[in-house]
Amino acid sequence: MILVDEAFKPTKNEIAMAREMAKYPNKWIAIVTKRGREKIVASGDRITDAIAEAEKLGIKNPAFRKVPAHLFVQNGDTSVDFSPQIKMSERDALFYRGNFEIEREPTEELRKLANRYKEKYG
Amino acid sequence: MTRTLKIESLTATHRTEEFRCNEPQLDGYLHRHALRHTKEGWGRTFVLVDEDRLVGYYTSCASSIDRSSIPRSTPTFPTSAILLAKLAVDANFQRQGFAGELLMHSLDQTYQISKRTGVHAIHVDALNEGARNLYVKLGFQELLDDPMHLFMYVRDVAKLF
Repeated sequence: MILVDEAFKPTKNEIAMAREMAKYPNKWIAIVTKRGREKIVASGDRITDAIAEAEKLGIKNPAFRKVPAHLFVQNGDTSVDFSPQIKMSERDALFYRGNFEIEREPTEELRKLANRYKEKYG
Repeated sequence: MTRTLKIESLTATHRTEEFRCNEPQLDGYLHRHALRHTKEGWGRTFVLVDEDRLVGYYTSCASSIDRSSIPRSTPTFPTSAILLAKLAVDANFQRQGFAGELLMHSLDQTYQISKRTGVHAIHVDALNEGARNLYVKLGFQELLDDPMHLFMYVRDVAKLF
């Protein structure tokens, strides 16, 4: 029996990759896998920019991902889901955007709403 | 004059027939179905009342999200969730922040439920682009297969309470 927590536990490589991804907030990135390790090889504001940059570098069949605006990486508790690693077309990449775990802090707007709600309704 | 606003479960004493938010689907649901659904357990409706005027309402129910639709799903079964099925504010009370108060009440309820049984996310179908943008601004994320269908992890909701 595999516990759910175990199934989601990230590997060291995934944590390292999450840290790398956090450097590209809100960008499309192109990823290649070499010897079991993922590497970001190109990026861009739009997926077409990332594709163009990857092609310019002569990189064949990278996987494309959209990095969310807020990507929090925590030691020991990160659960970034990179599976399944799919070689995606642009259309598929758009469908799978955000297909990894992200830890979010409440937005400023939501915090304001929550504070007002608690003041008013206890 | 101090208003006496309160949010409470819908009962037959609430004057739902006067409610108009100018979305026929949402008006019709409150006028014709909400009380019955609450009684029969299909969905629970909460109303925001100002004295005896009905300012707004929301309806929620237990639900699940298909594992292929949510970024972090369980390995073999759907993700447990609360569906925020309806949320509306009467036209006379719109743009005064009441929708936010109803939303916060639903998030609070979801958080309270999650302390008693497993609930991983709250999700909502945005009625239009304006509503979708508002939910996104508040931190909801699009499901993978439908940009008008948004969710928030309960563990993120818990940070508010």
